[in-house]
Formats: sequence, C-alpha cells, structure tokens
Amino acid sequence: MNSSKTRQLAWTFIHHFTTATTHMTRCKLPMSYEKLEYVNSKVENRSYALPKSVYIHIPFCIRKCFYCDFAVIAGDSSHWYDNYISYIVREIESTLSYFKRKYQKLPDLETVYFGGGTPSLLPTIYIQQILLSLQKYINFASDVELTVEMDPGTFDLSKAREFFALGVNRVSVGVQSFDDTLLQLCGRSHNSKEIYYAWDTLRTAGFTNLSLDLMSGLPNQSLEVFKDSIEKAISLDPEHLSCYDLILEGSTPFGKKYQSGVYPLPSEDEAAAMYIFASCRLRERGFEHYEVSNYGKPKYLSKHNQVYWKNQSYYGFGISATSYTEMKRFSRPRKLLSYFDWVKRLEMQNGEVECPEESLQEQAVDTLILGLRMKQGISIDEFEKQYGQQVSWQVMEAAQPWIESGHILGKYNCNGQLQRIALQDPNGFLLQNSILISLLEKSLWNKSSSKYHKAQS
Amino acid sequence: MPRGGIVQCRGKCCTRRILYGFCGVSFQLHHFRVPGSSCVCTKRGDFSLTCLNRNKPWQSLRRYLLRYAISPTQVLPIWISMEEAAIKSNREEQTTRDVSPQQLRNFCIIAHIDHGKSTLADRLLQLTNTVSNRDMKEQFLDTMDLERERGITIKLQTARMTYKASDGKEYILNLIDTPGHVDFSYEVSRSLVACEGAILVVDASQGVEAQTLANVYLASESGLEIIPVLNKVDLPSAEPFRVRQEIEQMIGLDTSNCLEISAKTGKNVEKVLEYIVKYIPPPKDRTNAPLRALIFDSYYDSYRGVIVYFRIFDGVLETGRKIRFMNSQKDFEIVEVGVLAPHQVPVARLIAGEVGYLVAGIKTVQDARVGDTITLANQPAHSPLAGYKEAKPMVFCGLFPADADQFEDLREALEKLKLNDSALSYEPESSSAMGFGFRCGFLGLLHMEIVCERLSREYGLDLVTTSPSVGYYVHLENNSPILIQNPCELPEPHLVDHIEEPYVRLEVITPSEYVGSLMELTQSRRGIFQDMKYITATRTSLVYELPLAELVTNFFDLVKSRSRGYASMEYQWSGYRVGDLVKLEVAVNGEKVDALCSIVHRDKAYSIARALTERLKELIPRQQFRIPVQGMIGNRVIASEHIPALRKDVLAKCYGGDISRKKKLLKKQAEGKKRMKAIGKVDVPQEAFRAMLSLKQPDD
Repeated sequence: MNSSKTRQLAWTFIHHFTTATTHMTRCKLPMSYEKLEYVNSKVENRSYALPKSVYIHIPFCIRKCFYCDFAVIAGDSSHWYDNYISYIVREIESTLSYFKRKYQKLPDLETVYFGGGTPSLLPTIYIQQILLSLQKYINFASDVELTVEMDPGTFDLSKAREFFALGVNRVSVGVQSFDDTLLQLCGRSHNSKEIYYAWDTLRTAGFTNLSLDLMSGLPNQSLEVFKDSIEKAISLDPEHLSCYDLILEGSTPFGKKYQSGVYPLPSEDEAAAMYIFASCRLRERGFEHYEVSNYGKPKYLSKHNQVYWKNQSYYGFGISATSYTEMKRFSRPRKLLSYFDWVKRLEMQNGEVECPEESLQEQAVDTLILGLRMKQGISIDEFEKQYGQQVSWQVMEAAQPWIESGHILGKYNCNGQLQRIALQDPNGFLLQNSILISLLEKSLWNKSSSKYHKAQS
Repeated sequence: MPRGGIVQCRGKCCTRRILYGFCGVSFQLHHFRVPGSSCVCTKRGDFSLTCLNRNKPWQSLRRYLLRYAISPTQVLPIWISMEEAAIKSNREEQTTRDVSPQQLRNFCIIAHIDHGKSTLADRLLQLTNTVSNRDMKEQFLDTMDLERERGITIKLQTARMTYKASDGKEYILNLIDTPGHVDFSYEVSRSLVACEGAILVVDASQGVEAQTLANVYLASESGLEIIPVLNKVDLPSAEPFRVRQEIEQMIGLDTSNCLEISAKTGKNVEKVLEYIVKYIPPPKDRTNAPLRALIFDSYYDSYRGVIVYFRIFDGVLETGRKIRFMNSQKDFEIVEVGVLAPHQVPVARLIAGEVGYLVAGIKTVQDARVGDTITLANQPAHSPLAGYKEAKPMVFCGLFPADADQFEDLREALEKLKLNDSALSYEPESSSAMGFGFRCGFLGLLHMEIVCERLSREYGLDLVTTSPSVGYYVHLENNSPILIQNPCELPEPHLVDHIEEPYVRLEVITPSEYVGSLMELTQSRRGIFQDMKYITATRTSLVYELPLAELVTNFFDLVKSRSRGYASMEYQWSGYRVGDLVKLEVAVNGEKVDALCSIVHRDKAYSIARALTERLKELIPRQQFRIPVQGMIGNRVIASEHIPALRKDVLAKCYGGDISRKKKLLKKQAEGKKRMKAIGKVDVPQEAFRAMLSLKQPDD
C-alpha cells in the first residue's frame, strides 16, 4: 500500500516536472544539437556515446565482511530503506531528466546492475520502484541484462520468484568459499549449506544465468581448500564465475590485521598458484577467461561489467556509486547523509554533476588499464585512431620486451604489423600492474608525452 | 608600495622578521635595502634595527617612506613599541662602550652532549639582560632549524654580555657556546683559542662522560682556566657527591667550591657569573702592539659577503682601516666592525682581548679562512698567530640525485653549503649504477646526516647516498701511496703491495656491568685493546685503537644498545695502520654494482658478504625474473643469494568505482619505481645502497 502511494506521488511529480521541462528543452534546443554534433564528430560511436548501462548501489548488509571496504551499512538498517530508495529515485529522476532535456532521445538501456551491499536484502518492491523510475525516462532494450547481487541466506523461494517476475534475469551469488571455517573467518553471514540452498532456490525460481563469486588468497586458505571450492563451484554448473584474489585494504579489519604475503595469508607463490589453478581448471571446463578475475560460459559473459572494461559510459546511482557520463567520472559521497545532501544539491543544479571532464590523455590511460584486463586486449588501430600515432607507437614499443618474454600476446596481421595486444593467460594477467606501469611510463606517463598532450589540449 | 624592495607581509607577522607596518600593511624588513647605503637588513630581525640607522631605525625608514610619498604618520611599529626600542638601544650603547681589558672576560662552555650547555647559555643571556624575556626562546643561540629541532648545537655561537659584578664594576663577558657532539669537536677547539677560561658543565645525574674528558683535554692544552659546574641538580636522580668524586679522580680538578646549579630552574646561575669574573683571568693588555686577530669562524651572507668572527690578541681594530689576511695575503677595507650581542652591533673600534665580527666586502670564505690572522695592511705584524689544523674529512660517501636532472642543483647546493662549512669537501663522481653525483667528505656520521638533511630540506633535493667509507692509503708496488676515498677505485689486488687504513683512539666510558659486552663488541670490530681504568666503583673507561671503517657503520648504535644507553664514547684520529683489506664487490643479476662496493677486512669478508647479500635480498623487490645477488672478492663468489621472480602483481577487482583508485595505485607504484636506480634490468631501491649500515653481523 505504502509503495503504491509513493508511486502515485512520483507519477504526479514527474508529470508536472516533464510538462514544465518541455518548454525549457525547446529553448535550449539549438545548443544541445550543437553539442551532440560535436560529440559525434569527435569520437565516433565510441565511449562518448550516451550511457546504455546503469549501476545502482544498495549499501545494506547483515554484517560487514572483514575484507570489504565498500560503502556498506551493516546491521539492521531496514528503517533506512524508504528514505534511501526515495533519494535514489530522486537522483535517477533529476539525472535522467537532465539528459533527456539535453539530448532528447536516450538510447535503450542494455544493462542494469544492482550491486552492494546486499541488494537481495531489500524487499522487491523497492527494486521495482527503482526500475519504474528508470523506465519513465529510458526504455529497456528487449535483451536487457538485469543483474542483482544476491547473498545466500538473504532470500527464500518466494522472494527469488518476485525478483524473477520483476524481470531480473541474472543473479550474482556471493559465495566466496565453500569452506565453513573460512566463511566464518571472513565474517560472512552464511555457511556452505545456505549456498547450496540459495543455488537451488534460484534455479527453481527460473534463473538461467547465474554467476558465482569466489575468493582466493584468504587467510589460512591452502591451495587444497581453494581447489575444493573451485570443484564445488563447478559442480553447481554456474553460467559465470568470478574469482577474486584478496585485496588488503587498509581500512578493513583484514587490512589492519594481516600483511600481504605474510602468514597466515598465503605467500605470493601460493596465491599465484591458486590463480593459475583457477584459470586452467575453469578453462578446461569450458569457461572463457575473459577478464583477469572473470570466467563465463560462451554467451554468458557479463555484459554490464564489460562496459567498464571497454571504458564505455554508464550511469551510477546511490551512495559511493561511480558514473561515467559525458566524459566525467564522478564518485558519489560514501556517507548516507552526505549523499542525501548531495542529491538535494543535484536537484538544484537540475541534475548536472559538477566534475571536470577527463582529458584525452587520462582516457588513453584508462583505456589501456581497463582494456588489458580483458582477454581480447586492445586493438592498436582503434587506440591509434583515438589517441594519436605517437602514443600508440610508444605503447607498441614498450610492449615489445613483454611480447618477447611471453607476458603479452601480440596478434599480427598478414603484413606482420601488430594489431592487438592482450595479456597472456595466466602469466601476463598475474603481472598486470608491472606490465601496465612499464607501458605507461614509456608512453602516457613519460615527461615528453605529457607535454605533448598539454599542448594538444 | 614603494620600489626598492619593500615587500608586503606574507602573513608571517608572528615571526620576528616584521617590525613595522603601514596602516596594517606590514612588510618584511629583511628584504628592505636602503638605497645609497651599504647597510642592508639581514634576515635576523633584531639585527636590522641597528643596520638601518644605529638605534633609531624608524627615523631613516620614515625618511625613505616620505620619498615614496607615504606619510610618516602612517608608519607604525606594529611589533616593537618605541619605548622598547629605546630600552634596546640603551642596552646596546652599554655593550658598545669602550672597555678596558681588565673588565673583559672571554669564556666558553664545554660539556658532553646533552649536559645542558645551551640551557646554561640561555640563562646567562637572560640574567645579564642581553636578551629580553620577550625575545627569549629556548636554545637562543642555536639559530639553525635543524639545531633547534634536534636540540643540538652544530655551530659555535658567540654572545657578548654586560654584567655588573658584586664588586660594583661592570664587566664585559664574551660567551662562546660550543657543540657537544664528537663530530664537531673541531668547532670546540676553535672556540677555545678565543677564550681565557672555560666552564665545564657536568650533568649531576650522569657524571663525567667521554666527551667531557675530551673537551677538558682540549681546554687544558690551550691553557684555559677551567671552572667545573654541576648542572641539573634539581633532578631527583642527581648525585652531586659522586659526580664531584668523578671529576676529581678523572679530571683532577678541585671541586671543593664547585657550583651546583640548575640551568633549567635558574638555581645558582648568577653565581656562575661571579665565578667567571673572579676566576677567569682577563686578557693580556697588548693594545699597543701591531694588530693580530685570529679568525675563529666565518660565514657567508648573501648581502654583505663573508662575515668574519675573530678574537683580537694584539692591537686595535677600527672601521675604515685596511686589513690583511696573513695567510691568503689579501687586503680588504673594513666596512663594519662590531660585537655580537648576540646579534651584530656595529662599534667604532675593538681592542685587544675582544671578540667581534667584521664585514669587509670579502667575496669567498677561502679569502678569510678560519685560523688565519688578521693584521693591518700598512702596519703588519711580524708573524701570524698559531692557527688551527684544518678540519679533515674522515668519512666519505657518494651523494647522487635521485633524479638525474637535479645534478646541477645538487652542485649549486653543495657550493652554497661549503661556503659556511669548510669541513665539507666534495668532488664529482660518476657511477654506472647511480649516474653523476659527488663523493663528499664529512667529519663524521652526524655531520654527514646533517648535510644530507640540509640538502633535502633547504634545497629540496631528493638524494641517494651510498654507505659511508673512509680514506685508505694504498701502496702500489714501487710506487708512492695513493689516497682512495671511493672503495671501487681500489686497484686490482695484484698491483697492491699493502693498504693502510685510518685508526681512531676510542674511549668508551661505561657503567662497569657493560664492560664485558662492550669489550666483546670492540674486539669483534677489530679493536686493539689499549687501556682500562676503573674511574669509580661503578664506572669504567675503556680505551681501544679501532679502525675508523668499523666505527662508521652502526658502531655507535650498538654501543648505546649494549649499554642500554649508559655508555658514552669519544674518538680521535690516531693515524694509519696497515691492514689486510680486500675489496668486496656485489653483483646483482651478474652485474657488478660499483655503488655497493666496499673495502673490508679479509677475515670478515665472508660474514659481511653473507649478511650483505641477505640484506639486499630483503631490500630489492621481486622482479619478473630470478635475480642472483652475489658477494665477490675479485672474481671469486663468496656469498650468494637469489631474489625469486615476481609471481603476482595484479589487482583482482576493477569495476566502475575502482578505476580512479587503481590509477592512483599504479601511479604510486610507478613513482616508487622511478625512485629506484636501474642496474642492468634490475630496479634497486635507494635504501639498498646504504645496506652496509643496517647489516646484522653475527656478533652483534
């Protein structure tokens, strides 16, 4: 009842709002056309194209895992739900109406991703509210990928069915490990039994695209325990699997307690062995290792995450969410109340975020960093087209020793010219940072090229 | 604002630099140059008062402001009131009045480090109203930031005080504050020559320490009257009785009427002044002899040229006279003569026995070297005074800019430092690993540390330093000896007949219970036992001959840690001795690294090589390939370790929000890498070049 009321309210609000804004948009028409033209001429059908993806951050969790440094509100926080969702809806509406005003027609959404936190904690009605507010401005493509992160122990069959009924067609299940002692040690709120239950529930509810998250490099985790988790994960036959090596963040309990590579954390060699095992074993089982930490069955690769790695634009809503629109990369406040204040300010600015545009050089760096996370790597041709011949040559030259050492895979065309570079699986992936630094140092981060780029801009 | 360099206040009103303001707009006097005169305000605010126009600076200031059409009524002293300035000028008149040598007392304060020299100096300055309470701050005479921060004195400082003694006469007391650390003992010996007496400060809770003894020897060699004073008697742990005994037994001074003071609380400090007047002899009256004055310090001021601190032994020195430096045989005309009260106060003339400064438009410190004698050009003295031995650098290390572009900056910075620090020496050096840099010579480790810190702090340089080494005399077959300051210059062993290395005479004073452990340590460092004395029942003095090379690694820290901080040590150069020395080289990934080369004793080469390779293994980060690290003598590998290849260097997650963070992380990693030096294909961090200093030897 509560929700229908809010929906009605929202409707009337939007109705007034849109009628008011149509006039404004008409006045601003010539300018926005101009901009659009500029956009299209500068970067053809590339990232400056309008976003087709949405990320929504739901920060609520039963408890905070010891390794987690996301913006999370742990404990019983159901009294915040109403308020938080209403602010998200306000943010969505003011942002999208700004875009609508500016560009008239927004392209259909291809991916929507509810991340967290634990979005499955929310009653589905809230998810519905958010989806509806999106649909007021943008159509969903017919094959939209609608993902929700769901943790074991936070939903039952009826809730899973409700999510399914909402149109959610992909679920990412936070498993992390199948070892109960490890789960407890990490401060997870579920045990291995609940994992199996959750999995069955989701399958019963009709989901045919399930992803499973695992972690390696956890304290006291031996290679054997990790292998066991991989095998158990395979036995569940997921369509997609993410396997993350633990990142120690200073602010987390783990970050304070442990030191990377020092007991009880696995040594560098052990952690590398886990990574190599996962990569080999999963590929053996028909998964495609399409990103550093992600594996998917063919046709089940995460469309949403690939948007990030291809450095394409996306909307972001909710605390701590990052959006990348109109070349502006913006992270929202990480605290609930400052987020609320920020949304109010955003409304006063008619939905335009204040944030400097990324320079061409920054974009090139991003493209390199992100592109090399993917199995497909970077197309030299495209890179050159976007960021100039000099940089692309520098990158190619810097990549040469790595190609020789077998860390970078170079693909050549019939004329013997380098066409694509990608990191070798698993050796190249494992040394990604070192490789990136050496490429960047010799191209975009060396002194002469920064001068060159400043002069250009 | 008027031209001529009056600079607006940059919000530093709280410092002593700013004296006046126009309607709330203040300016910094030290940038103010008075047109048409040679007087320029210095950075030290107080000095500028007199530089502008003797005691009434505001008058000349107003005149100049009028010229720039600013009403003098607008000029308001914001920092110092007229009355205060008047008091100040009175005081200065007092200090600048002519005195008879009978009323002069020149003395210095000597002590072990941290026994309270500078605090006592502070109290004396306050008691004699030399510095008003408002200007007073701790360690008043230590002007360098580094000195104040670390609470040590590096450079000697002088102050002239006026004191009305109990006999009703007014005395002029010239105080010279000296450094306490062993590295700067040459500064102590310099100040001693300018004095007739010394106050020996001994900490009543710690007793006689190594540096106390060393300073006493220096003072008695110069024939100074020594007044022992027990400081810190207010401490609950003070044991004046025991310390008196120690002084009598170790130094042989009569302590029957030794003062017990507390410089911190001010207890009995005025008695110190009485003692000075009573026991320290006045200088000999030789005003009529031809001028002879000894330079005991000099520094370079960018506005006024070299400023020379001197002590007059014979004759009179007046402004406007032409002087000659007897060693360099250069003549200059005196622009300004003055006393240090403790800021510079110009006077018309100074007579024999006085301590003062002069400005004579001298361009380089080399022209007015410390130890040189000043005489009059038209009436020269027959023979110069006995000067000082030049301070010889004992410890050498390579200084390299972390960023090769900074080489020129480093050279300029060293040149500037050298102007005021004659003990520092440097010559260009190039290393295959480190690029271009300088091999610098220092008096000791503290000196080295301070120079490096000043370079990075005052000149913003990012430096890589190699492990310190000492100078060796290498005797080639049928050849005269050559001095080697850089270990990697040591010729091939078959060319070398023998090598001499410098030794020091080391004296350690320690509570008796640590004797065993300290003897063990010195022995393991190739020390040759000389002497052991039981000073009192609980304290012992150990004397060793020790190779300097063993001392310049972490020896001092080890002495401190083995004695729980209770032992003190002191050393003196004692000459060269032949040693069985070899060149230990280090190869990283098969490539010899010249910057890691060292000269060690043959017997210890194996253990040092092992420790060094182990340490390097810890310091050099893993890289994409396995790196062998070898310690070698000649072509023989005597220790070997390897750094395993880097296995994993990847951030598992990178989604929307992580991109900027990841970029930052990569940037940081890249910067860290940039700070490393590339040796062949291997990146070596800067700390690795100082690995020698942090070696864990099996006997430590």
